Amino acid sequence: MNDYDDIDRALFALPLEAPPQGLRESILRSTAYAPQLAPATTPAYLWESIGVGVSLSLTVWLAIALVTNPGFAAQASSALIVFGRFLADPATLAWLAVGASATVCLSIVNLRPVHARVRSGRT
Amino acid sequence: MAGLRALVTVRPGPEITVDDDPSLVAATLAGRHEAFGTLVERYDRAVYNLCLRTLRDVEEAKDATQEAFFKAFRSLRTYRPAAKFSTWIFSIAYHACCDRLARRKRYSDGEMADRADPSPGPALLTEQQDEASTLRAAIDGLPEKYRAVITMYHLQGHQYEEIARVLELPMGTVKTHLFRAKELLRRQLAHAAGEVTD
Repeated sequence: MNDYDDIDRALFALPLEAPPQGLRESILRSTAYAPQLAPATTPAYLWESIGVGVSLSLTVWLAIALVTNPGFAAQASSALIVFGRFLADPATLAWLAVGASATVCLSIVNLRPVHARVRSGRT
Repeated sequence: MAGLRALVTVRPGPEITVDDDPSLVAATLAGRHEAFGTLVERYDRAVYNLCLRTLRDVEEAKDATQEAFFKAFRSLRTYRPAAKFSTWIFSIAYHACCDRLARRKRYSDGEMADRADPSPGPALLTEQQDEASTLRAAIDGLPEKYRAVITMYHLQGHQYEEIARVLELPMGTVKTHLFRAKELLRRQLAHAAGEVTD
């Protein structure tokens, strides 16, 4: 075995060693056939956790505000009316449209530098 | 939520007819856990060999293989079908092996040092009559960084990008390590052959 081609041939002809008896069963017992470890029960994505957390805290805040401040409901309603009028204003809508279209344009344009593709090949 | 997503992509059925790895992953996520069994059957041998060559200890390789599949199963949602499943599972297994090697180094003054290198070593290569055993022993005699590259080369063939991804090394380093590993192997095997014929 004097050159690299011989080593390549020997390596690729080298059979994989058989795993110890019972390894596969052991893996399956701890994964696929362990119902309590189903992947569906794994923790949620970060954004899912954040979303649930924000919703919960908003609900709690709203509940506490309504209980502790009797005038809160009236204040919130008037604030909502003012906000609704603000949103209904044509100038606001126009600016929102400009902002949204700018966001869409920027997301389409690729500003990242183009890298040369790395090729794989034999040494 | 993930279960719902997986249900959308996988048509439920009594038997698994899909053959490719991403479909088997999707089927597992959809609750058909026997699909993961197919993935285990497909890759347990290769993963075990990667662990065995990296750790050079049968018991530790067995544990690392089990750990790799367990971690893969638990984090199956993070697998992206754009990547090869083999690369993904090899990567998890290699990290598990690296953790064990690091732990070994920490206890290197104690009894673990004896377990760290149970391979016969170049001096005993002459005792190996079988060519496959000789080659395996020669691979085991390589330094860790070369051993990992040559093992991945054995498992993945000429797919240097996949090897680089698993070992988290630049492609150039992979090629350099591979070249040096082959050179060391060539010398060891020539040396062993010389001693046998003497």
